[in-house]
Amino acid sequence: MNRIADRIVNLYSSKNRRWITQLLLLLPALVLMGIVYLGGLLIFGRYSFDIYENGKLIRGWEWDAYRAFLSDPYYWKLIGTTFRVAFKVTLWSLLLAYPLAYCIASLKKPGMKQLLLLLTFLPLLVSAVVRSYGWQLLLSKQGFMNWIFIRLGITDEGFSMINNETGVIVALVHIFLPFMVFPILNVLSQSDASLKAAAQDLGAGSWRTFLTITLPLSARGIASGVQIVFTLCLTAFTTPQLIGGGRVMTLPVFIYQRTLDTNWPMAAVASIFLLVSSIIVSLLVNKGAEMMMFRRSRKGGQAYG
Amino acid sequence: MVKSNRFTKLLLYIFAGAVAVYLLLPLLMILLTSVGSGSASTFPPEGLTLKWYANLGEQTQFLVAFKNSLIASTGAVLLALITGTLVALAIVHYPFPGAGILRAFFVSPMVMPKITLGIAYLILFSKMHIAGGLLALILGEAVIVLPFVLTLVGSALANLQPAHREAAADLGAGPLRIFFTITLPQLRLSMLLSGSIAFVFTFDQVEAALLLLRQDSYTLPIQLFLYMEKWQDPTIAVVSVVLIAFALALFMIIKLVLRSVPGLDSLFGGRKNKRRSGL
Repeated sequence: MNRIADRIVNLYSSKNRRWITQLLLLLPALVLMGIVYLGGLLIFGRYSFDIYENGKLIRGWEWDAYRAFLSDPYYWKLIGTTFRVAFKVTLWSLLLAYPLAYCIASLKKPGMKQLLLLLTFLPLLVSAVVRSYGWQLLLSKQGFMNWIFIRLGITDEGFSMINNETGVIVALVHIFLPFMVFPILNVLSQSDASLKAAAQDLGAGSWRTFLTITLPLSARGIASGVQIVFTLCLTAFTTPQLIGGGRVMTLPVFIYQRTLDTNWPMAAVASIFLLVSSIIVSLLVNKGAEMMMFRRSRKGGQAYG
Repeated sequence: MVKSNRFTKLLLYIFAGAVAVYLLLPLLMILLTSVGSGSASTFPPEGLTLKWYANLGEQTQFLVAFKNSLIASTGAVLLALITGTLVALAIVHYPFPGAGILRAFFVSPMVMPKITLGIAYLILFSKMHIAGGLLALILGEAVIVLPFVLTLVGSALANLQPAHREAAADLGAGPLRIFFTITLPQLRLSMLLSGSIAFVFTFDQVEAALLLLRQDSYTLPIQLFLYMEKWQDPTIAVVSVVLIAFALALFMIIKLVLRSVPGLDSLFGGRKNKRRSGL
């Protein structure tokens, strides 16, 4: 007994004070994260081994849901749609964001610069639900876009752009564009202007300067923009659900619907797949950007040698 | 050559202008719909009216939802600020083996698909018998915004001058006193910044809340989401306009706060440029 009492007293000795301070600082977050986050995910993950039959859950340790998910072509179509939408949205955001970021970075009038920055980042503050609603108004059969298309004589009766992939992609690009602009703008405004001036002094035209100096220097920004937008798209739920109207089935929409039918095993397996694929995509994009930079530096070395 | 340069520059400006229009279009459309007298999705509207705004007063569910959103977001942000700042302090000022791994664990909710978290919360909180209420949402969203606090406050802590704390310690201040009089005041800005980002983020959360909440505890995005799935009338446009105005006001406040702090507003292309062009 004495020994235990000694130990308790020793705990408060100056030798251990640091350790106790650390624990006290970490404790609230550890409790929160341990119970809510880790606990929630573990319980949810546990359901992936259950069996779902005729609307009923049977406890077990089976691989049935995993097997079904990976072998049925229906699920592969779903995965295909999710990745296709994410890929198209990322590509379009990059095509729109790069010139916009370049324009903002090269503007010298602070007023114009501020205005463009405000216009780029204001939508970020507006709820995704609200923006999806705006796109629903714009893209519907009697909406503004079709009104313009009919006036221009492109179509007679209007396109249907809602409840399909086109609408989802247009709205998703709108929602994720700021996430692409920001990292690119960041590297563009940090890059050294004297490099551009030097290239032009050496006789490179503006296009050549852009292709050999500006674009490679912004590879980092492009990579992180692509990484952010692609992974956000893979896991986007609100817009595909609202604009897709249940007809554009992506993995998050599928997970939501399986949860509504309490098919936990399938929802859990699809969630695990979604998580693993977004981690893999992040790693691949990082690796790709690193390789691009590495190859450039080696090429440069060879040119001098 | 100068000519072609000008031409590409002009093209670039036109392109940037077009993208800006694309970014603003949905918000303008909502504004127009909110004062249009026809049905929601027909363009052009038949006439102008303010009846939808008057109608908003009767739609009390949106007011309740707005209040719920405020409670949930504030609660989650406060919880994340307190726990996150303590963790940042432990990791930066008292480094220990494995701190990096712990940090990665605390930041990991950022990459977790939110719909996955939402469902995990539903199952967990149902087992704990607190699903359906705002407390569950506060706990769940605090986890989601903790990474913002940890990253921003952590980097601010790492940049602090240790000399200030050492001087205070030499003068006989205990660790708690040092924290409250030296460290905390210097963290004010990063806490405010991460708190605002976290607030905007939680205010907009659909995935984590959609399955978790009961009808009387719906937050604003959830109420809008479900209303939009069922009806299409311009009431949503009115609520959206109010939300956009709210966002604008918030933006202005953040910008004013940032302007009062030297160094940070260069991020938004402000003072530095002005001074240079003034010279």
